[in-house]
Amino acid sequence: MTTIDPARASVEVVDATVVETTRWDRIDALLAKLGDRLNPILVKEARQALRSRQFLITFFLMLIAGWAWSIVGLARIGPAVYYSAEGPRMLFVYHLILSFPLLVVAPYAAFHSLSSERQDRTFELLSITSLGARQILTGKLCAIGLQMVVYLSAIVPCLAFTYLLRGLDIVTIVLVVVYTCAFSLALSVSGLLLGAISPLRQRHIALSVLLAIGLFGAMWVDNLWTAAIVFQGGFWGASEFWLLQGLFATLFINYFAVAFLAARSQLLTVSENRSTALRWSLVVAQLSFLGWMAGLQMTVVDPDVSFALIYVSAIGWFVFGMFLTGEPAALSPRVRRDLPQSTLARTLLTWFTPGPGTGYVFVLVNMAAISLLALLPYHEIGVFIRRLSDAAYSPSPGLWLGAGAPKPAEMMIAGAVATCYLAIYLGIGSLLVRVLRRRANLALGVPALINIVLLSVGSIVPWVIQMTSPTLRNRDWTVLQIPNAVWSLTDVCFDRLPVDDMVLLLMLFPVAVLVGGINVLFLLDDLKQVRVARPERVEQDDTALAAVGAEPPGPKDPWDEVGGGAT
Amino acid sequence: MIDATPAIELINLHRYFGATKAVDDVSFQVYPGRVFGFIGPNGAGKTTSMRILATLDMPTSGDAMVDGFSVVQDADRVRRRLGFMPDYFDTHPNIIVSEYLDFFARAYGLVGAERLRAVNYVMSFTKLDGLAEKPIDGLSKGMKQRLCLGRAMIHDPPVMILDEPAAGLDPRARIQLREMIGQLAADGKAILVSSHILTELAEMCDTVAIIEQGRLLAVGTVDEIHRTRHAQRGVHMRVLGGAEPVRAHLAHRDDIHELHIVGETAEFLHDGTQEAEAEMLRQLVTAGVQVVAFGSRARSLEDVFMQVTEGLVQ
Ligand SMILES: Nc1ncnc2c1ncn2[C@@H]1O[C@H](COP(=O)(O)OP(=O)(O)O)[C@@H](O)[C@H]1O
Ligand SMILES: [Mg+2]
Repeated sequence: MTTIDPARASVEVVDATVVETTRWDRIDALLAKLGDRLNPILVKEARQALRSRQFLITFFLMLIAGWAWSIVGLARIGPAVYYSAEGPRMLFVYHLILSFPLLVVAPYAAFHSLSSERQDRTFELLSITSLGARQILTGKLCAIGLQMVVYLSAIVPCLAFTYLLRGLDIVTIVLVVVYTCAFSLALSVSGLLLGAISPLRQRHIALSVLLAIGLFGAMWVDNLWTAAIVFQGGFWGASEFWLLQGLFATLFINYFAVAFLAARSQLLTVSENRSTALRWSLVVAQLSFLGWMAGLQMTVVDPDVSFALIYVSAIGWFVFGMFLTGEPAALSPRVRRDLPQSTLARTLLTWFTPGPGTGYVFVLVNMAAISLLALLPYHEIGVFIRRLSDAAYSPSPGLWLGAGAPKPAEMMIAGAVATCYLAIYLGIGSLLVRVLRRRANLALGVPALINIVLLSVGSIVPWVIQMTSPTLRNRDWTVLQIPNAVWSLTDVCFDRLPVDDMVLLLMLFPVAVLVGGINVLFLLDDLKQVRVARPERVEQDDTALAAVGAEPPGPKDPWDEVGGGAT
Repeated sequence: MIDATPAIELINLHRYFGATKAVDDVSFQVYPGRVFGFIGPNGAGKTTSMRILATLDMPTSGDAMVDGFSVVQDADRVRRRLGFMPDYFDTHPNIIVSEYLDFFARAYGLVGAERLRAVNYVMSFTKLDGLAEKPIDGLSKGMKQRLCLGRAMIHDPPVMILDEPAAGLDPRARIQLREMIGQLAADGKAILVSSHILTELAEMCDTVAIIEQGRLLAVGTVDEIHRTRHAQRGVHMRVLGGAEPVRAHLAHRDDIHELHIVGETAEFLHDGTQEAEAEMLRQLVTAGVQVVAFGSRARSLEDVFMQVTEGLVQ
């Protein structure tokens, strides 16, 4: 594949002309080498962008808008520029100009580039090259990143100019730019995810419109946020401010990784392992979330933080669980080549291998671990450290104000209730999907849809009954609402349940055990699939690749390493 | 020699679209250095089979191997060894021919001088040198076909799959294409090429497979198919003073079919060898029939194709 036969070599003219190597030649060679390392998609899209009129027009419009606002803004301020703090207002409008291409145009372009290429089959020819799913996505993201840089460079002189005005410091300006760029990247990776999961056979008008609305909404939120930073600036003196930045950064990184890996899964062929990498990223996300919540507990002792953790985790695990428990049970020989084999590995790693049963257990174990094991000690440690350091630590009016006493028992019950609801709803959904899969191939969205319908029916029907009954209408939560996971869990977490939480748990528990038991029976059947040997031809190929010194098609970056090898 | 292991192998390949059996139990092999023709009318299942080979579709059951790798399980390894020319063009706005090829060369992992060489070689091979700076959206059909072929061969793959490469080409371009395919095979590549027009493939293929409604009807060299398919020869004769007397001599014979006599000419189909024809001519002349012209030719692949497809599937 990589050898060039003599017939090919005879055509070559380029190398022959290099007679002497001047300094320029060396720089040239260096640049060429660098160019080789660039993602092909980045190179191609950059070339296309340079020729595309739309790109140039956007760029110059931004430039003009930036200058126009500079002139108008300054004219409005007039001589007051020397003493009035007009910097924030100027910065806010520059940011507004920047936010449109970054938060609407770029993410939409990411979605459109992937979904339209998949539809007009340009993507097919790309997908059968040596580029893996990860490289394709990285290339697209890099191309977006390049666009961001270009747009940013149109507005940078203006941003630098605001620094000269009164009322702004460098931290604010940098913060505004960093937030907008990070937000843009997060939206772009969401655009790619949407482009990767969008169905092939339909035009995506509805999807495009929804996305556009969502992006304008995001732009609105970002501008509100920027207004808060710019006009009320100066609160980064508080330690909580940097804590908050850390939390945002963690959220951003985890969201980015999960969305990226989800998009990558969708671009892999069906026989490849689409699940393991994603499951690891979910665990990492959950752990870092837990870490932050524990951190917050130490500064702000508030049981509500713990309840919030349980509540958000339950929502998250339901969403991911919809997909994980809807995976096909039969593993492809490709996936079975890498199944864990030793007893220890099987015990620990089976839950990361694809399949609805392993997914079900994976979700429940994570939820239970969060609510029952990790939370309690963290909370207690938080209280303990708080007591120890009470003398040295002078509580500042932070962003959260602690109130109320810690309630470890209630927290455990809340976690158990959340786990039971997940066990029941995801369990029934997973069984339904298994039955349907016997008859037909299900698209990705079908299991998710089934789970959403189940949860909606379970929650809305009891609610409607209570609301229409004249005797019950004015009551709070009643026993009728036991299937209503949304209402019940909300009341448990916000401590509003009129009965003892334990009563609810005792009613849910037998059902959860029953549904869980049936699922485990199916899981035991799934687990009979054991490792198959790698075909001889594959071994040969790997040996040959290793001998050539080329990279074997194995892990190339951290995201792949956790993924068990598929590029 | 290397012929021992097939470069392409279809093993009981099935692909159903609901009730439509697009590919129904197809098996065959293609060896390195060979051109294999895949012939069938529109909707026969050629594109579906080729898309499965190119890892763009999944078989309902069965498997296909490229260079020993399963297209289902090891699509990534297959992709590195395969050049696929589909029956459509991809669209990339604002990109010129040389950049298009450069992009795919990069995408197949070619770097540095090697990539430059590959792009230059492919452009001269497909005679696109003069068009290097042309935007690909402005190319004519023939140029696009050549560019597509160029893209498919940019990474020098040992296996190439060409779906109707000659469709819509003028006769001159068709001849050029045939030469290119011949040269690729001479370079040792295994080539699978499809068409619904037989004459297009007759000269360039070592082996052909005839497919209709998803089923393989015949596989073999053109000669083999002639032989196994009860091949007939078409005979054309001119007789001075009217060909009517020929009827008396030939109409009763079992090996003569579709005897048509118009004025001085007689035409019929004959099952049998050329020796038998010489004997028949001798008998006619001895019997006093004034034969002034006698020609016979093997039936074209087209005729065989009609015969094969009509005989088994309606
Ligand atoms: N994606 C598809 N969905 C449904 N039917 C299809 C699809 N692709 C092909 N077919 C059907 O499969 C049969 C074979 O098609 P194809 O392989 O394109 O034939 P050919 O290339 O030989 O003309 C046709 O009947 C066609 O309608
Ligand atoms: Mg076709």
